[in-house]
Amino acid sequence: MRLAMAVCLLTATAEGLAVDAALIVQRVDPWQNQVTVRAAPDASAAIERLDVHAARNEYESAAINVFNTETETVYAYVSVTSTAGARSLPPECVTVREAVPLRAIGGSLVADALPRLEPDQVLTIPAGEVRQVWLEITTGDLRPGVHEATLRIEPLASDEPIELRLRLHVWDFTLPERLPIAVFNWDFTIAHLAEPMRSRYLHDMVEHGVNVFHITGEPRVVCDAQGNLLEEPDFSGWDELIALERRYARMFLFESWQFRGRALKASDGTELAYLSAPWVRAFQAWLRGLIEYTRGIGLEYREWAFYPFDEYIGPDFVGIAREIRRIDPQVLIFTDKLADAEQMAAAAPYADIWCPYDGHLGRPEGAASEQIMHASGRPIWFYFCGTDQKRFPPLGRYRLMGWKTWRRGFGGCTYWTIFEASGSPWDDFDSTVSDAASVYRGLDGPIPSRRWEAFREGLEDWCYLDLLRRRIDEAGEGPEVDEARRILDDAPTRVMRSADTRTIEIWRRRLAEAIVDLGRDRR
Amino acid sequence: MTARCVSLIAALVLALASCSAQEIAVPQPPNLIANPGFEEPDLTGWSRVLAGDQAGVIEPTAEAAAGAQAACIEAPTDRAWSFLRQQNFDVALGETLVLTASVRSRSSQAKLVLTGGYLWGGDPSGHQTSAARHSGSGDWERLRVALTVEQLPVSAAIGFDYGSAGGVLIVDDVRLAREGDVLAEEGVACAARFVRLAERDDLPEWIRAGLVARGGHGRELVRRLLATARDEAGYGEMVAALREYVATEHQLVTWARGDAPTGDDGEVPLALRQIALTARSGGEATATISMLNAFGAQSVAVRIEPGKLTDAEGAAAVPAERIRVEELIPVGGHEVAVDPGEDRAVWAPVNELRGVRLTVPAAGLAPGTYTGTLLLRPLDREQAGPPQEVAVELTVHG
Repeated sequence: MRLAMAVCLLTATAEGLAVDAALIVQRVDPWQNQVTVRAAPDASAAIERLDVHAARNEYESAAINVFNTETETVYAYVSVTSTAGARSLPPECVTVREAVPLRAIGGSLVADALPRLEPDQVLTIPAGEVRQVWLEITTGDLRPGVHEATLRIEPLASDEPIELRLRLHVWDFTLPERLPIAVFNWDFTIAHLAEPMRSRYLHDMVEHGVNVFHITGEPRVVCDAQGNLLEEPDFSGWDELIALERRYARMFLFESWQFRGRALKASDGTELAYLSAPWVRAFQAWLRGLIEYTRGIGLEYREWAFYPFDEYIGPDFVGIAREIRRIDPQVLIFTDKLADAEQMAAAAPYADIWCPYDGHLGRPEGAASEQIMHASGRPIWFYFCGTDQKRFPPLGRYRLMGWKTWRRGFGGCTYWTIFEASGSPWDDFDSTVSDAASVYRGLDGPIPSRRWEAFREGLEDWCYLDLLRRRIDEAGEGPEVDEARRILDDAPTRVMRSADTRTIEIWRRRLAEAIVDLGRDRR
Repeated sequence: MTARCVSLIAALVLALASCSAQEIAVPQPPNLIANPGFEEPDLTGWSRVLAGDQAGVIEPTAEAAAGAQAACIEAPTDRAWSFLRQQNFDVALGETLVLTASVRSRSSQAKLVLTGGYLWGGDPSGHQTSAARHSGSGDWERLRVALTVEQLPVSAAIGFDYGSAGGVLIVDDVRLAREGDVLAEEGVACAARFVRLAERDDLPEWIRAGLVARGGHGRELVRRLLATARDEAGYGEMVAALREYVATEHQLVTWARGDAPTGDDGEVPLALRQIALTARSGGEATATISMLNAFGAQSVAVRIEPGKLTDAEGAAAVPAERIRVEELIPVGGHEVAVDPGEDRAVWAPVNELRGVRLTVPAAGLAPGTYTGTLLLRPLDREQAGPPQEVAVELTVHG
């Protein structure tokens, strides 16, 4: 019987439903990235109103599917206009984008890229197909309460537009301008961009929460066979980029490649073995140059870290870290490796920032290593990576990073990588390696992906949790505080367990209501 | 070559191609699958593979694409493995196999999978796998996957795997065959599609003539393949040629509007190869490209990616971002130019002609010749083939 019903459902929807309107609009889960291009609408799910809730200074995403039930392609002009009245939602708070489907490695069709519909704002919807419109809504400093606008979808060849009431409910609290946690990214690309692209990409990173910047392309060591520097290392090539990023930076990570367990080559061709006396002499002089440089540009020790190895924390890491401590014990050392307990114990005295791989956390065989990491008392961030990220689930992989950070009590998170693509980020098949990038290259700057938006919203979720904790701490005792504590305890568990949009929305709303309630009490 | 002359040739070639099509008798490829149409009772020959909780349902159904029965798979939870499988076929390492099936689903997670060396969902995992997915349209679609066998056993499976939330699919008419046997049939079908497309009266005559010739070329390849024994010298090359031919069946058809090319355009006018532009110094040159998504099952977004133009010494003369791209959309009986926006992607709906205008500024350019490339990149290769690289040449007069 169950199977028969399933077949009936399949048949009914496949053959199409009796619908009158040429275009039918439905609200859909913004974090579902796998899409179909040809689809029949469920007319009963058509909407006329779209409600969105957000705090002040928050970005929020909504997605609608627009179905064309006609037998010809419909071209529709899409616009947002304010409604009359004091509580109108300014159109500039809404960026209208189209979710563009592309084939990802593994075969799925993912509507991942989210270019703006501007400048002409024409949506093309072929007969019998569906297009997804993405709304990026930002509250800025809008007053708390409901703000309304109209989303108008107007077929060019007809005078029967669809109008949706867009209602933005702004909570009575504000998300922080600067995230209290570290959000790093391996942004190799930005250093190579010229203006105005560099500033546009940086702005995009900052608006998505990045506050720890990656600096590479160090000056090479030029030394003799005894390790005496023949040229002072010139770090000034970083001046412009650091000056640009400085105002947004919680800290900088200086990633080194030339000292990474390798011999240095002297000017006469002599190879200086790794950690040999001449090698150490050259490294000491070089690192002192870097310390002088950071001091010269006004960076305090807490504002930068040296990143000597990538995904390695073995004896060579310990060797160079020991030298760094000898040269200047105030220099912070970054590591992105969780190794076995023996290596972790040897490296722990030298690791000032831990950033293990997500998949290595929470495993029984890694418990001792994690214990060493936690016992060090140093900040812990974490990351994920992968080359075929277009097919990664936006919610499960990207948005939950904020929730995982909270639940683990970590101080930061990141992933590899925003911008790096093998070949064109638009094409998983133009290289032997598919793409990790979560931002696409556009004509005028970066184009976000659904995944990149999900990551930002996960960081904003973290802010909700943090804000509620602060309000609880400030509020003292009482039944409302007890209830808020329960919500704060339950939300991460429930969200992590179900990992779906509906659950996140329910708990985000509970968190928001608790924040508002405690704020009201305080006043 | 005048349009009139081309038209006569097209008519002649079309007539010849239509006649010659009837002369090819393609044998039915031997099917390695038992009970391929699910007509025998209770899915004989097939294994039902379900997750540990046995939550999925796999049963015969009368909702068939052909014959009286098909198989229906319901994967009601995202924790279930729910698929049908056959394996241990009499095939050798190095052989290329093609698995096809008619599949109907509302889920784009519905898969057709061919594996070598392990069982889908089994252990050890992941050596050889080739998969195709349904679009989720709810219609019958013919899915196809190919695999060159490097490990045994070979398994053919249809269904849903881990993470495929609540899907239903119906499968019918499954076929697993050696590539050489399949290609003859597919080549004839592909050729017929080209010839059929040539019947459209909104295409330039020279495109129609080329499509007919393309159809004839495919039939000739099939004839030669059928006349060659599998163990005969040259069989492999013929299979490769036909494979290449069949692979163009989803090719986005592109051409420059205007007169037919005067040079040797070959018999394959499927993809635009070059654009020649002329401008006065300080002026601008335009070209309009036509695109036709004739062979895809659904529309596809195509990125228009002009590259920079350089002078004879290789110095950049026209930056890519200064080359204007506009989509020409039909509104009220004429075309309206629309900026495709920051992604420079335009939609190519199925069977609709789509125009794209390219405008290259010649401001500040000295008289001479400037060259570069234009990439037409379909964002869904399964629907519209791989990117097409077009040579662009701009001649600037004083």
